[in-house]
Amino acid sequence: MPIPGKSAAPSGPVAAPLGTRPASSPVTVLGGLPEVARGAEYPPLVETPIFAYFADATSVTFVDGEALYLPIKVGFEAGIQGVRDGSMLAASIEYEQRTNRRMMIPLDVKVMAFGVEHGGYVQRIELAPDRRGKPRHHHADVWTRYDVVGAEAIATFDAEGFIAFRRSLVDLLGPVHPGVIQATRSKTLQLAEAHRRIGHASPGMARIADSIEAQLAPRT
Amino acid sequence: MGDPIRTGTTPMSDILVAAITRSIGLTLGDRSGGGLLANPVLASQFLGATRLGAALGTKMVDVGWGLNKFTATSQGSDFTVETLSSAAATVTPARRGMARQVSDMARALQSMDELAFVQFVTDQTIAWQQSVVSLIASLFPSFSASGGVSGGTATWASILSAYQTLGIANSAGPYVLVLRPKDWANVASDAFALGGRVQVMPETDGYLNTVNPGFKGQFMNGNLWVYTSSELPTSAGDTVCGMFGPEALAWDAFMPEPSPATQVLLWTPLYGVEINRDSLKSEDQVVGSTHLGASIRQNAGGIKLLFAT
Repeated sequence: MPIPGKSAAPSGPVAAPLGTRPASSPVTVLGGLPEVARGAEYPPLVETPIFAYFADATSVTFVDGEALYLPIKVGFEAGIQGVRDGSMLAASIEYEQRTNRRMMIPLDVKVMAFGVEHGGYVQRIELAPDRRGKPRHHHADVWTRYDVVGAEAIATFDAEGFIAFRRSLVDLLGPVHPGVIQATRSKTLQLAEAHRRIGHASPGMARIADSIEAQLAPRT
Repeated sequence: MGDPIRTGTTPMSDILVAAITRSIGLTLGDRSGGGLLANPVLASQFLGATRLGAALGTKMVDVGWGLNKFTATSQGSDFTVETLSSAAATVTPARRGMARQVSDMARALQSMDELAFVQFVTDQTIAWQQSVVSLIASLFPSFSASGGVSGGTATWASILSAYQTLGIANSAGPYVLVLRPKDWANVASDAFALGGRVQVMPETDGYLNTVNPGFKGQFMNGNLWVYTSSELPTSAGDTVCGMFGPEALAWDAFMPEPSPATQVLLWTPLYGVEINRDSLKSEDQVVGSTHLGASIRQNAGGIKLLFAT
């Protein structure tokens, strides 16, 4: 029905407006966002050098009343303790073994961490390479596990596994010397007492002193 | 206007965004290295080019003068012939450095000189300072004496206990204590809980933090200098802090004269910063480098303090 006062619409084919063309490329209706290409994801950790644990007959602490060797972590990096470019570790190892009378714990010793057996105690984690693709690594012991949560790396430490490792050091060094046990006990008691003294009987310091002394007693 | 963070939203190459992110990081980052290196104890441990023997490093020999006493000897008997003891330590500087890329596009689009080359010099200088502290801190686990509370928090009592250990070992001091900001916060909490304060000098604290980040003051009649740093190693769930006297450590850093082929931004006897132009990419590489080494000299002059990470 023509609109009154207006001319009638043309009845033949209508010419498209200038510049308008029908779509000729395929059109897809999206049901969701397209996949975005993602590169490899790396944990947000800092670069750390390779290291070894050294066993020292005088490095002992109490855990639940048990005197256990506490291994000493020595990082190997050029410039540190005589280590030369090209990973010449001899100077650092010699310093620990000859001067400090420590024994390097072989890196391929079998250990348990988080209930799984590992053929060594050092783990290497690949980090994001530098802008030119040079690889970077974070070295940690196998008792440390990192979970990436959001933008953070959350570290969890398997204390029980590490204690079992410490217990096994008796195989390398023999039983802890009674004199070392006595000295460690005495040092622990002195530290607890220092907290009580400086704390002037404050509840907080007393609690810390109690927790230090608790190392000397078996867990109940 | 003049907001460096907002500048990052304008279209430009990723280097500028990265640089601005970095500058935010610098604002919040650990810049305690410079203050720590200015400490007289660390300055006394610096060997210097004159002590650097060969390219393979400097061997220092400490002779045990004064370690023996006269002994009573009866007439007609020989005096005891004592061995003059000695200890040797070697500092072997190794090549270290880092580089940044900056494109012409990035520099053209900067709004307030945030990518001026002098900023890169500051950046590399801080990197050098932090590297020295990191190197020195990496030696802490090797100290034979052990203090702190493995798995526990830092307390003033454990710090004093470590302080006494160094005194018992005949280290005369003054001592430097390097621990994490978190550890010092725990110590400060103790002090507040006990009705005191870690140090009573409220008028100067603000200035200290501005010009010497990380420096927490002198304690024990000035015989203990306390610094915080994030450049500390970890070991089995603990962070390894360190307290040491002048005889404990030795370190060295050096740079030769700059090559005549280079474009120098900053050159010192300790480290250098130079530019390498890549015309095909219309960008520059700002390269900082040094030769750095550190070793334990007298193990008894230092003590590690373990606190839960």
